[in-house]
Amino acid sequence: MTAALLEARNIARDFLVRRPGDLLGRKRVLRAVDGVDIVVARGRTLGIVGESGCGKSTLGRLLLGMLPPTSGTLRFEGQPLHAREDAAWRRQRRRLQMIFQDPLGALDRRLTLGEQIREPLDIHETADVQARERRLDEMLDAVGLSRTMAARYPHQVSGGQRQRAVIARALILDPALVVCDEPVSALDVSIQAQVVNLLRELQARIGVAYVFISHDLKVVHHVSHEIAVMYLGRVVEQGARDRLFARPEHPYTRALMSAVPRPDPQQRSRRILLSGDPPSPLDIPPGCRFHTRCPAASDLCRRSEPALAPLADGHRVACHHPGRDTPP
Amino acid sequence: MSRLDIVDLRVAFDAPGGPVEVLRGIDLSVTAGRTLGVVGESGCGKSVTMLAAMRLLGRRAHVTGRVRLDGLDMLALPETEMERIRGGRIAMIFQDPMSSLNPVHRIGTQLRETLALHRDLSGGAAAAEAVRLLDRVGIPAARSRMSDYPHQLSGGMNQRAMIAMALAGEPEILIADEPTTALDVTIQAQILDLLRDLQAERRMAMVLITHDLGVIAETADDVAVMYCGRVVEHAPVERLFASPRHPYTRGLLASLPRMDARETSLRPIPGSVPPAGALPMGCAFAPRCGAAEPGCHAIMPLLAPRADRHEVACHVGARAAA
Repeated sequence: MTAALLEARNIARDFLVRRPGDLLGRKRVLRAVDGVDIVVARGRTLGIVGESGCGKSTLGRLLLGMLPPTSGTLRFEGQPLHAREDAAWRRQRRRLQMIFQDPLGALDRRLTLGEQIREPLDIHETADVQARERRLDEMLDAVGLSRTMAARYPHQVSGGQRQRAVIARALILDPALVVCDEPVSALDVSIQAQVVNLLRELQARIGVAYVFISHDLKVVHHVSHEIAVMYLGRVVEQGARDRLFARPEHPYTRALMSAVPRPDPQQRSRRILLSGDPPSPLDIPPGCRFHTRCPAASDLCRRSEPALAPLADGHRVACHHPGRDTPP
Repeated sequence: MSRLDIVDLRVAFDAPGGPVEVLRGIDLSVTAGRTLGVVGESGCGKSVTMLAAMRLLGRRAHVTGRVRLDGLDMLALPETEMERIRGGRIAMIFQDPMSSLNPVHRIGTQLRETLALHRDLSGGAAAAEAVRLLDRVGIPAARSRMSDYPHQLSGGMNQRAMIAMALAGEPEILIADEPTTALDVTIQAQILDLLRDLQAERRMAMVLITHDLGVIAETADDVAVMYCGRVVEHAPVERLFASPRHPYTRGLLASLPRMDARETSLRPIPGSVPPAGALPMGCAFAPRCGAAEPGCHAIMPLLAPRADRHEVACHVGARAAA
């Protein structure tokens, strides 16, 4: 059994938001993440997939300690995760890094790529200057950037090269975990493949764990060992990658997988079409929160919310009628 | 039977260092009842091609070539006649519905305006037709949505409203530029189904521009793959996916992560797309191409017509197919 690197127990996060169209500015509570349990093992990748508004990015920020949870507990390497910027937070921060979608926004336009990749070493004063330069060379080499490239500014290089620099900067302190939020979504497909391969190679080499957040099931399938599917703030299905893709249980997972366009004209129209839009997170339906769009919903689903519970093989699903596309 | 023919379309933009050519001779055709998919990565010129054809690029663009709508050369028409064609015989939809919808007008008002302009409908007839269109594109409670503003609708519903606007002029040709790119995958599936149904029902010609080969495989009849301002491969959709001939098309397909694959490593295309204005000699893809021969770096391959309608602009690919 691999030791848990990061453990989240029943975490939730509320936001106060203005009611849409309310001119008096009255606030309501939006529960973006609602009772999520997450365990990330050392050296492994947990994929978190879901559509806009499902709470996956909020969950990512909670796992990083960038946002404190409204309730629930988070432990990283056995210690409570610090959401306050103190000495303990600084120690954890070295071990816990992040990569976001937009590399241009994540980089400082006034510094060269090399300066920014080295910056974490300078901030944490890890070693003498020569040692830091050697470490920079190693990282550049690991992500496939040349020394010439490292002397350039972010706007002088391509999107793929910028994301390589962001990855190098995230890994230079040798973190145990990197939370990646849509790291390849802004990249063209040929460049996306380069970056996905790079993340996997680096994991194999240095044993870093990833939480990989994306709306793109194809990419999540490619990088993850374990996958959690989110809908309206909750994990509705979670399990090993191959088990999940071979036999998705939750009707939402099934619809999501069937909706992904396949690059094969022979395989048209085997989609499970969901009716309507996802409900607003301000207006979560009673019972199972997916029942308003679910092709398998029954009376039970309209009344009672199913908990995320293990099936016989340990695969977990929050559904009264797993594996079905029609009502029982 | 209406058809749109683009012949040797070239576009250059003014830049500080002199004009930069972004389209380098595009030939494409689409006919009633068929969907042409145009696919390529950012900057390949897929959107510019249709914007140039519709004369929507503005003064900094130098456009040459022919764009014929049933023989009528659109590039030579007076602007007033182009205005009647846009939104009338040819309609366009985009990735961002807000590019077509006015945020300060009600959905119904905007639809009635288009109906007045292109179909001479007003009053009760226009209102009834507007409701019918909203209903047809799958907007629930269409009558009450007429008085909504765009911000009151979700992204998917706005996309539907934009499609209703495009249909209002009863177009013969619909140009859809990344129509589902900003949408969640379950909503994308709904919109692609809608577009496919509408296209079949109205026998429209459709041009679908996308970066997503999956969307192409699900929607198109014919496919044009673009790279650096040229069409590099053109084929019926089954042929393109079953036996791609251009190394770039092959590379794109090999870079795609697939959900059914057990293999763990993707095969990316090495390097990156050269910037327009700094293209290499010969074939623009040659520096990234595993199959390139010395001749590829000197002579630009052309898209030659072939009996099997599977055309490829590649010295190596064309020889292999011959």
